[in-house]
Amino acid sequence: MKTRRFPGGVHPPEKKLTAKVPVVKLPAPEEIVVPLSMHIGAPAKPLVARGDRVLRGQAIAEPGGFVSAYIHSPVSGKVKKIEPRPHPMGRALPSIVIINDGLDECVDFQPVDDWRNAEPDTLIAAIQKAGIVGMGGALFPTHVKLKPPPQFTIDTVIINGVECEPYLTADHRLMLEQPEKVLEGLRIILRILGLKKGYIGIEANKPDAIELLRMKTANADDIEIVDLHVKYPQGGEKTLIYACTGREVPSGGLPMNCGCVVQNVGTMAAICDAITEGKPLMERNVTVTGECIKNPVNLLARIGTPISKLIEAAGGFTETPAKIIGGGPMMGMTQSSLDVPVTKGTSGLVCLPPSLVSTSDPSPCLRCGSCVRHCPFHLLPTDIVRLVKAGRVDEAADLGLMDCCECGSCSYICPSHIELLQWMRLGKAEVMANRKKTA
Amino acid sequence: MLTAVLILSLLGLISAVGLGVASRVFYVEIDPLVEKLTEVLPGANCGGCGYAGCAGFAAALAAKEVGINDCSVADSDTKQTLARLLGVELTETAKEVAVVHCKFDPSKMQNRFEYKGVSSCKAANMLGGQLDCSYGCLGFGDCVKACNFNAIVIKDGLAEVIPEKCTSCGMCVEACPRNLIQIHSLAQKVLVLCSNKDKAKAVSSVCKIGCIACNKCVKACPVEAISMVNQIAVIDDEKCIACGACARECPTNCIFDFGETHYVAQINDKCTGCTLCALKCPAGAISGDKKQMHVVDPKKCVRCRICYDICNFESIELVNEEGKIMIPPRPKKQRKKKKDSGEAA
Amino acid sequence: MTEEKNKFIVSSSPHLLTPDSVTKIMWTVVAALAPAALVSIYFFGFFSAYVIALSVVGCVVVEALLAKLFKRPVSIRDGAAVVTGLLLALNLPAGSPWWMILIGCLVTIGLGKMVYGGLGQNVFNPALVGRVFLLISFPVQMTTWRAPKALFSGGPATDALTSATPLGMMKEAILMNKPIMGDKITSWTDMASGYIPGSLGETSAIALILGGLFLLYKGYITWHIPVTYVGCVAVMGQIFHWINPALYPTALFHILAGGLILGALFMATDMVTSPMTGKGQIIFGFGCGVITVIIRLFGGYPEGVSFAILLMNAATPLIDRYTVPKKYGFVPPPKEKEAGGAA
Repeated sequence: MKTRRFPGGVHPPEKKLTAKVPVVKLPAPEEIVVPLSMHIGAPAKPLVARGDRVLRGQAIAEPGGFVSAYIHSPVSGKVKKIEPRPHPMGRALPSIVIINDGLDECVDFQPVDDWRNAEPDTLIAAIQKAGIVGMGGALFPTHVKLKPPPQFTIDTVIINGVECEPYLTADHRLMLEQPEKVLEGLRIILRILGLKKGYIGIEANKPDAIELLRMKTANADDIEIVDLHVKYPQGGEKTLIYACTGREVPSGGLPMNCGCVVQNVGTMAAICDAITEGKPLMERNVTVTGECIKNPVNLLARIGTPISKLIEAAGGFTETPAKIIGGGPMMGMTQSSLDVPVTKGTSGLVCLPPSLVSTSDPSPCLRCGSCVRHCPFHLLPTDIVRLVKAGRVDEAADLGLMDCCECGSCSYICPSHIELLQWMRLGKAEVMANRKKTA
Repeated sequence: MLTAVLILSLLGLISAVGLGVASRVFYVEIDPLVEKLTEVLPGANCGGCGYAGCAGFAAALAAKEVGINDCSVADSDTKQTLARLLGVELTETAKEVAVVHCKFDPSKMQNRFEYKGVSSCKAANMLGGQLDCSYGCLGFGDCVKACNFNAIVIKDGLAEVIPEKCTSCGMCVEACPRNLIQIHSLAQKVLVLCSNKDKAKAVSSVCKIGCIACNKCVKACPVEAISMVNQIAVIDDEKCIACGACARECPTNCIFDFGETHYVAQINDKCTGCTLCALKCPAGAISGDKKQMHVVDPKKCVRCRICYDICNFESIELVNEEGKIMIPPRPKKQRKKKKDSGEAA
Repeated sequence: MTEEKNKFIVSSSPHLLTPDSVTKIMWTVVAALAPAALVSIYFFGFFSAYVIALSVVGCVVVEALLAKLFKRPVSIRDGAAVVTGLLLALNLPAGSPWWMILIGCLVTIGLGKMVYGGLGQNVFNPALVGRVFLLISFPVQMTTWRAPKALFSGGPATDALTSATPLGMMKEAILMNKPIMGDKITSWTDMASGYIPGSLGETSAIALILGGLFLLYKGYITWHIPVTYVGCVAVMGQIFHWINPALYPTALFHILAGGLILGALFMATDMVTSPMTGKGQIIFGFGCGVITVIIRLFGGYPEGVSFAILLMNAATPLIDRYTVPKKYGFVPPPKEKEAGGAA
């Protein structure tokens, strides 16, 4: 039951400055810094050592646990060292530093023969070997998602082409420029899950992408393009599932609990590359944008490229930004250094000038109820935060603190500019710590 | 008018009877001992003992689940009273205080970004912490908020414990997201005040007073009380004799000596050659034959005062670098009772 | 610490915030109340102007002084005290004595807001706390009504005192059981435009509705409370009118007379003291409506809006507790609940 929208949510200004800018390939830099944690789960374990020569597409790290992923070198060159380096998550984390020899010598890519008749397990193994993780930003290892435990039956696949974050257009351009890859990737997933039909959800502010994909699937009955009402956070998997199917993911559960699998369009293109060309995940679309950037642009950047190179390619700064955000402005992480590398989940770099960054102190809560009305999950951010501030996190958890998806709608809409989301995060961390203590 | 009086009187009577009945029916038996104990306890309800407030601790005391010393807040007199009430013997324990293991130079420590948001160390730490040093004190005062005794303050962006007020309840230890605070005996005067686990180059690039794991302190320690763990010097409080040798050797001055000034020992001609000092010297700095005057090698002397305390012949004096006697020999009669570790005769 | 030069700002997401702010909301409410204030100055001239001015200045000064006294940051720039002062003024009769206004400011800000902890912490609508306090303490001054200047008559407002307001006349009729009710009491146009005695804000329905629509458009109030409140009063009033047409007035009279429009649009909708969810607001509006009509027709006072709103303010936390929205993906807990939980 498609509702095409969800209750709650907010309307930040769209600011899609780069919607009409075609993707430009960014040349690989001299030094590539590949972090060992670019995915949910255990960090990967290096397969190479200092001094080794590596080829483009070679696996340089293997999964460090069940929920983990392979990592591949995006260039050919020599491993300089393996040491902690600045990471978009804030702390320095172990990374493999490779000196690019500029030759781009590749390994032998091995596609899957005749994937349409291949066994699902073969396809999943190929996806795992290609180091593919959710590229919408969640970075969940795709091969784990595509093999849910047997007690869950999946009957719906939804591809997330929503890109509801302001400023970002990486997925939009991917859909416009490589629609076949997206569709092929979806068909591969359908084959793996044994389903006949999949959906691609796209926000109505991308009419060209909707039209193009509809045209390409006009005679196909296995893919349906669903146009969705423009609202943030339509691209969150839970709101997306609701808008496309009317189902609600149960509290504490995952999409598979209600029979759904959600994947990003970028992941689709990566899957298509891995299966049909044998190419692992080594690069991705990154939107470099913001009012501080001289020429906002969409770049195809290799994993491990320092973001300083991307900003250079976009013409540099027109003024010193107040914030540099990895990802979108609603859920992305602010960066303190331009040395952090592009990871598998870097969908964009938004550089905001001081005029757009509010630095005023919060005012007292007015009990206006805006946060309650706009929360996509019908939580009570004001009461939850009050309890967290008072140290009563157990009661806050009873009100639904752990169900918060951290979309930031409450913080966005609060007229008192209270840091609701930050308090929710603090509360969640305390609940997790308490659970660990008593476990 | 009469009706009004009658009705109100009736209501009053009903309420009184009701309250009386309720106070009988819902009466909660409280052990009078627990009540007395609760009254004596400090009443801070800090939770340091792990029980729900002082009443909870009192109940546990009465049930013999805990010992009196498990309340670190109660002072000596209070503990004596508790012991008397419970009819048990009290063993005195040394006073302990919290110590913040970070002491960067506020005028030199840089920030790697400008932090905006909730004024809490936990919050700033979740974003990586605004200091260049990923291990240092963030200065937003989570520990100050946790302390029930106003025993910790933020000075120049650094947390500092006020030892006189600290009761070592441990709430600040839990509150610090970077685990900088540890409990030490008040007698532990020499402390390593750095928690940076990175290698030397990384440490010195962010803080000049950081521990670079050069091992000089390990070599200088006469009793092997200090060792390198995870690129930081760690002092074993049990073994440490507070001589301060490590602090003097440390090239970055990250080891702090809060004790009195240390002077080198010097033996005068009253020496009877009993060899007691030579036996006890941890650095092997005293030499001499039996019944002959002994001599201290000033280069080896670690200034721990063990020999000074032991000599009963007013023969050992403490001198400064110029040889001036700063502390004259201990008079014969004042033999100190030795109860701290490391000095048993 | 060294100063932060050329360092990027790191903060928790989201990094874009709504352009709204407390200050914006407050001053928008002031703008929405401006038509009613101006109309009252037209009808009552100087007698209205000085009440408004004194009340606003008094409230701002009291808030600043009390903030200093309680060692809290002085935040009068956000305009909240101005709104409260304006609302208090609109609840007072034209020509109120200056000392009464100042006492009102002290009670409104001090007792109505500051003792609770300042902005956002109060349980009761501060302006109504002030008004009710003054009404009970100084009943004569609070019910001395001035005659409004006639519409389009030119010339200044007169000093003349007048007989009761429409509601006052209604109450008199009910108490004396004299059938002088109905439409005959005052013309509708007079009541709608404001050419009737009453407190400053009670008079012009049109000006108030204009302001209310502006707030609705801006999204600072929602339709739930005004519509439910006025609707409930109208329905109940009309029912009683049908029961006894000679004694009880019609729905339209109830709507236009007294402070219902002011209360429903500006006082009951106060964010701090009203429920947060739509469902809660409907219950709130309904409760206000019932109590208002009961006080008006059967209570000791001719006007019940202030008391009704204050009583429902007290019920707001309870309403909020029982109108918690159902969470997305809510899973009801198992029937055999184990005590405690993880802790």
